[in-house]
Amino acid sequence: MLDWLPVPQDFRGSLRLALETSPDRLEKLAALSQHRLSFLETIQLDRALGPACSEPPQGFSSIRLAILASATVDHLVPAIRVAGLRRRLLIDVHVGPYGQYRQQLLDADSPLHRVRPQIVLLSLTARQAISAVPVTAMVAEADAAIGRSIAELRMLWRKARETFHATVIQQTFLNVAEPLFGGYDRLVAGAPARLIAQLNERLSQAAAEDGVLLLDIARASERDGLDAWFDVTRWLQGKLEIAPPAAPVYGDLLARVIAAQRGLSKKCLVLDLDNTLWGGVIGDDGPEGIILGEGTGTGEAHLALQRYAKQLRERGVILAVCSKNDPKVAEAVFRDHSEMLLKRTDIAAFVANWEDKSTNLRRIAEQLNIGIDSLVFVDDNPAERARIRQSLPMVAVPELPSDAAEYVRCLADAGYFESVVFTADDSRRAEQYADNASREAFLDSSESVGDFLRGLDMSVTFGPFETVDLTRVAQLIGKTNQFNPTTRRYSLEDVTKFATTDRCLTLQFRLVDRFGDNGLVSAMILRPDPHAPDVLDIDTWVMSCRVFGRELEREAMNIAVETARCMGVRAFRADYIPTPKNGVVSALYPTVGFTLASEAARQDGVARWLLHLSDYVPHPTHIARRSEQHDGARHSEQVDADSPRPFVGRVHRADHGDQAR
Amino acid sequence: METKRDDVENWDSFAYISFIVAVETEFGVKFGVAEVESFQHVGSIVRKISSLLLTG
Repeated sequence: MLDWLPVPQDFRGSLRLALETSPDRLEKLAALSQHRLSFLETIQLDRALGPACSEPPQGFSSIRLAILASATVDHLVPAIRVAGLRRRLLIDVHVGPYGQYRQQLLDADSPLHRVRPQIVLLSLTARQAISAVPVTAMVAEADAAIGRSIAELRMLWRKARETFHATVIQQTFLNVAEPLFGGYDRLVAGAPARLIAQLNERLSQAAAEDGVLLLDIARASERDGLDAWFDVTRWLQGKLEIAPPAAPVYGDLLARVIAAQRGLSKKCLVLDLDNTLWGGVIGDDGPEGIILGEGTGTGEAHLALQRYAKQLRERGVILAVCSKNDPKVAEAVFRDHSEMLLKRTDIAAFVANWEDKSTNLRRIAEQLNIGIDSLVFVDDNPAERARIRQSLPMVAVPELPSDAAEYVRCLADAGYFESVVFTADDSRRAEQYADNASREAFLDSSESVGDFLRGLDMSVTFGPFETVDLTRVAQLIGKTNQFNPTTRRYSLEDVTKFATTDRCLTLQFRLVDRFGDNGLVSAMILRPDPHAPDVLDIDTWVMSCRVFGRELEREAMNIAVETARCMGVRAFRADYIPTPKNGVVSALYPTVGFTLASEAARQDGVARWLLHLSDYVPHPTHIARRSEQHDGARHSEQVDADSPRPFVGRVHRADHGDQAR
Repeated sequence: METKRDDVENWDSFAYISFIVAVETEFGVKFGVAEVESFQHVGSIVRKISSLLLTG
């Protein structure tokens, strides 16, 4: 298990070295966590890590997790913390007393309430839920019993959310039931194995409805085999439902979900070409000599990787190529080879040259305007992999097996692209990044930036958060790290609440240009100051990095000010809270007209900015306003005659695909 | 060899399971549920491992 991670060279030696160095210790331990560690090694690493401190060091963040369990889970805690460290998350884990999860949650004096968890994980066995159902139960009786269990879970989820405002993660039920009728079990309503399967089915539906996240160990146990996950001896020895050797995988599965929810999943799959996307070396073997496509096992194995990459692209993962090759020769394969499933247009960044790959990976991240830590680099060559791990430790590099047949499985097992949401915008995202490549080419051919922006024919659609877009808004808030002055993360429920709260101003923006629809790319949440209701606090403002440098921030501020003026707002206040990733907006507020508030400039680098709306002069931009949503009088219609804004007037909803719902 | 659970400070079920897994991993053996329950002190574990290793 954890096969995608490299085996540590000298675990004990590295651990000792980390413990001896004090200033760099956490970095050294984080590096060690990027290896394939066993249950026992995980415990040792966790011990070296020590308790979580409330103030995380630069580049790390801390989270409070509470596990409510009906079996022993103490042995899983080190693996959870180590898997968190792998993602630079320092997880403070609170484990409630065994089997008392209901009391813990419902009793306001329980230790759980002092912990104030940000994440609540319900880790339950199916035993209790199915024990009361007799084997002779009819379908209706079995369904009713399952329904009761699910209803109770939903009550617990609701309670955890209401009490702690926490993200709830529900573990799926491990199907540990032995066959009773054998293959016929699936047809008997009261058969234990069928009951557990039904429980998981209904659980998934309820979780989808309630916005609860799943930790799907049932699926993982199907992948690894039940024996890898459940050891009846351990169950009898200490009521451990998860076998200790599975703990490292359990920790990683959980940390993935937590990371995904915080926008830390990877975004881009960077593929090598020779012996990765196809068998053989194009430069030596030529287009006829490479092995790809139906007919041979090897050819199909490489094709399978292409197919998987294509599927990832369809769900929003960006694809890139990084290869040591002649660019013309490499591109020709994509264009001319009949067996190629991936087309040149599927690849948003294509880098083929003879430079070292770390330089090229930096170039790809820059070109796509994403963090270098959101790249996954897939290469069959162990030397290249080792070099990238050394020079760019933030890039994920799966330890590809030597057999091409197992490439897809290795990449899939690593779970780099774990998601907690899927929206219509996702499926278009990879395309949008590819559109950006066309924009880049257009920029190169433009005389000036002004020419470029004018030639893009940009228009913005805006309005308060729309019900159908709430998931996308929550996702944008969850995963935007760069254009995010406050980096506050909100759940779908929170976002829904803001959208319906009186005096709270929410705005969403879509940007369309001649190269395509960029989708919903920016969102703002402005909340009233409880002491001065005519002052709005820009609680959250996020923008997709895809539309940086397009003047959208200026037009968005124009719109926000106009809208707020109509609401009788006098001033905006805004904080910039620095993180390692949001440096791009450190000077956002002064450039759109804000001034530093007098009490500001605190030690922690947080800057507070103020804008009196009466002082605001609208920024000229090259973005037209396409249509307006909902109630009128949102913004004034007149446009400054001197403005270069190519105002196209209002377009009726029916004319506008985006709005026609 | 005479050390018992009560002699070790902070000995709990997690420490016990970790210890058993460590011993099993180190010697490549697997204890049954009755064997684990019969271990009274370190000496009894050593004797069990010896016999398991001898009988293969």
